[in-house]
Amino acid sequence: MELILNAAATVAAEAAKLPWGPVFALTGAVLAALLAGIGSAIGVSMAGQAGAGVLSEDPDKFSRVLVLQALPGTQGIYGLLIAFLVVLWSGLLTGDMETLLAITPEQGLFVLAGCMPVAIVGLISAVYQGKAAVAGIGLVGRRGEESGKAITMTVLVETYAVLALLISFLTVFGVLG
Amino acid sequence: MAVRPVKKVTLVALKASRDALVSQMQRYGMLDITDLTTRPEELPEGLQCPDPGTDDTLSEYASDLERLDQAIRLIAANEESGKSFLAVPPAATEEDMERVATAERGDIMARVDEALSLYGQIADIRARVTRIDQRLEQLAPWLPLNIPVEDLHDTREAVVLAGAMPAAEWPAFIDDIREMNTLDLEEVSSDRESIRILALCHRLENLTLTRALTRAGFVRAEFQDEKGRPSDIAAGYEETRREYAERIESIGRQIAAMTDALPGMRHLYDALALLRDRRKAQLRFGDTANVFYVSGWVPARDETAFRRAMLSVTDAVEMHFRDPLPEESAPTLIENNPVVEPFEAITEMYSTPQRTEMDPNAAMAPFFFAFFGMMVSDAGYGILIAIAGAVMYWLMRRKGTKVKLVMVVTLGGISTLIWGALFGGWFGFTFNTLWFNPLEEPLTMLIVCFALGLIQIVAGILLKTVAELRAGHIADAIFGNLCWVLFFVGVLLLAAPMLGEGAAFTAAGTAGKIVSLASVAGIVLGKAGMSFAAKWRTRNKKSLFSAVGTGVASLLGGVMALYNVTGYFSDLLSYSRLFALGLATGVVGMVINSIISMLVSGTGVMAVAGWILGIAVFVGGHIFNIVVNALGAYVHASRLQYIEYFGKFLEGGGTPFKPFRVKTRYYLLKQSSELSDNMKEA
Repeated sequence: MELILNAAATVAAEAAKLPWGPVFALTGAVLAALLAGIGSAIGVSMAGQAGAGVLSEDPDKFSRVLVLQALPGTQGIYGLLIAFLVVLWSGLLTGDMETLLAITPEQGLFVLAGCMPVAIVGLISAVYQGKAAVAGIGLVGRRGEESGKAITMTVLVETYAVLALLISFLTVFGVLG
Repeated sequence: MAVRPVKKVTLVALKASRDALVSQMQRYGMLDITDLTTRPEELPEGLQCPDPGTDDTLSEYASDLERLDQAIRLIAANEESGKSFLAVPPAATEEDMERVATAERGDIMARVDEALSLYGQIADIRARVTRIDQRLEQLAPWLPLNIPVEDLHDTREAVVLAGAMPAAEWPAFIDDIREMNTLDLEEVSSDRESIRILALCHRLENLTLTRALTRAGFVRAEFQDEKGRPSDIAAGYEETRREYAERIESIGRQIAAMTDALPGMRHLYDALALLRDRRKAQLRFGDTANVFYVSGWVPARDETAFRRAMLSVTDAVEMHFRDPLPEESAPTLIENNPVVEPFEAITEMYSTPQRTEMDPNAAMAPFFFAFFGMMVSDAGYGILIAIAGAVMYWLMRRKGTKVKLVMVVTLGGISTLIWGALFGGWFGFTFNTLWFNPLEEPLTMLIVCFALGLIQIVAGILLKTVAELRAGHIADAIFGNLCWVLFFVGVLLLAAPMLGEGAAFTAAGTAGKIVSLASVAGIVLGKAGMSFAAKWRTRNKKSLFSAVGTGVASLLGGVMALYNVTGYFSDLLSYSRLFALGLATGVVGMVINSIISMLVSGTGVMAVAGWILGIAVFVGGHIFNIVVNALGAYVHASRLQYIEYFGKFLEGGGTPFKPFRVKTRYYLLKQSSELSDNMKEA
């Protein structure tokens, strides 16, 4: 029993020495790039499958289908944007260890929380935007001249990813910028 | 910058001059012909319309054009590429077109049929090759079998079975046949899924074997009419396959050798397309035994020109012009100056304005221009986009097509250059910042975005005000729209004391307080007053009590009108996409550049390799970033116009003005000089 308690105490002591600030902050950065990127990959892939179906009937619609397919791809870029800014401002990218280690655990948690909107909303909105894009591609398949409306309806989904990015950016900027 | 007025024209002429008049209408190119088959109520009494579905001439043109199109695509696939993209389309006169469509049509169509039948042969052979491939695939596991397949049949004493069973069933099967005495089992081949076997046994044990095989899911191999050992059969197929491939190649060469027929085919395509369009136009006319009747729309200013163009063909034509009736649905003809014109493409993707509405293009173009550039916001990218767009536009111009969207992108490139220079972004690097760097001052950037958004929202409300005033809804214009503009001005002024000290700022703040409160009062009381008036007018029992009741209800309705502020607020937030996309371009550019700086930081051989790789990443990475962000900028700039801007004032749903005109795909039609002179004069 004493042995276990001792071991736990050692682990706790070692853990306390870890630079939790940068760890939290970089976890946030990684999650932002990871989740938003996954969402975009799913969304773009769904739209691509629907697009290939339309193109097999009418290859001339390639440009219109491509625009729709590309739409759910932006969330991945938003995630990358936040991840990059965290990596840049935390000093990791420039190798500025002083700035990096000066991040307190509280600040790190703020950054982690700040990364969540773009990570989670990015993931989910990209998938749902992909679904809207699939429907839009179906519309373009039947009525090619209506592609403007299909694009507009699909872009409406992205508004919420933009708003999430805004909050993520302001939080990260507020803590690290 | 406007929706141009159109006039309804009705024309009656003799059928004898119909073809000449239709040709002239096509040359003239500004007549939007009403389809009388769908609007029979416009037909004067005693006239009738032919049914377009059963027109033999039209379906003949359509079928010839379809075959021509197929043949041209087929043969053109063999043309050297690149050449066709830069080529200037050849010119042809009307006489050329006429000659091709009559004298040469038979010969050219014969060659079309030749090409299509050659292609039919290829398709037929390809189908056979596919069947052979499938058969070869089925034969492959049987290749080790060294017995001619025609010998795989039962003899007087023995049963012979060849076939496959799932590999998973194998152990159970072995167990089942352990008791058999006369069985000779040979494994031909096996893989993960199945085992091919040849089984021989005496007739007496046939039942045992068949039962065991059935239980194991055995399927007999089929060799239909094939003869010889499987390997010989396969070799035979391979040989046939080679022959087929050679035949496909030789037919392909024959098709490729037909490139000399391409100019003729393209010429005929255009000539027939012109004839088809004329025929289609004719099918919209009404007629009697001797005369025909046309109803359509021309630009109002073209009245004389159109009259002259028609009279130059024949005197025996009666024309009547009139303005559209107020409730009549007339097409919307939009014309703009060359700078605004490209942006019509953006509006066209949304909807055509009603004929009675204002044309939104001139009021939209500056916003689209500014937003597109702000979302890409890299001067280097801007230069590349502008150059690429200009080159594309020039090439297409030479071909006689004018693609507005290409010009929009070119102008967007210029806007990108301006914003990029202001923000100091050059290919992801920051230098010589003229205004501020959005990455260092993101809050300033956000304020700029919302300020631009506020300007556009206010512009949208003002345009709505104008539309309401034009429609005579003065109260709506003032209380529903103008008061909101005042409200925004007031709120902005309220913020003035935060910007600095002094009497001027305080005064501005006080003024803001007064203006915003007054405008809120205007919105609430205006709305309440309007709905009270509307309700009171329709009320039959008018007493003091009911007046108070209606008044309270109206007042509540007025307060509810304030709820609109949430709509405007979410519209405003939507402009943060300018911020998001603008920053995204810069950051992705920085990511590319930091990868490159890591690559080139090596020494010795690594440095050389790093530089080579670095250049590749620079070119590839930035091109990717340009394409993705230009696409995003185009889509989001459009969306801001459609939802946040047009949504405020544009109804849309109008019919675009679609004139009957010369449309060719490969040749430019040269009008004979005499005719164009005649029209110029007019």
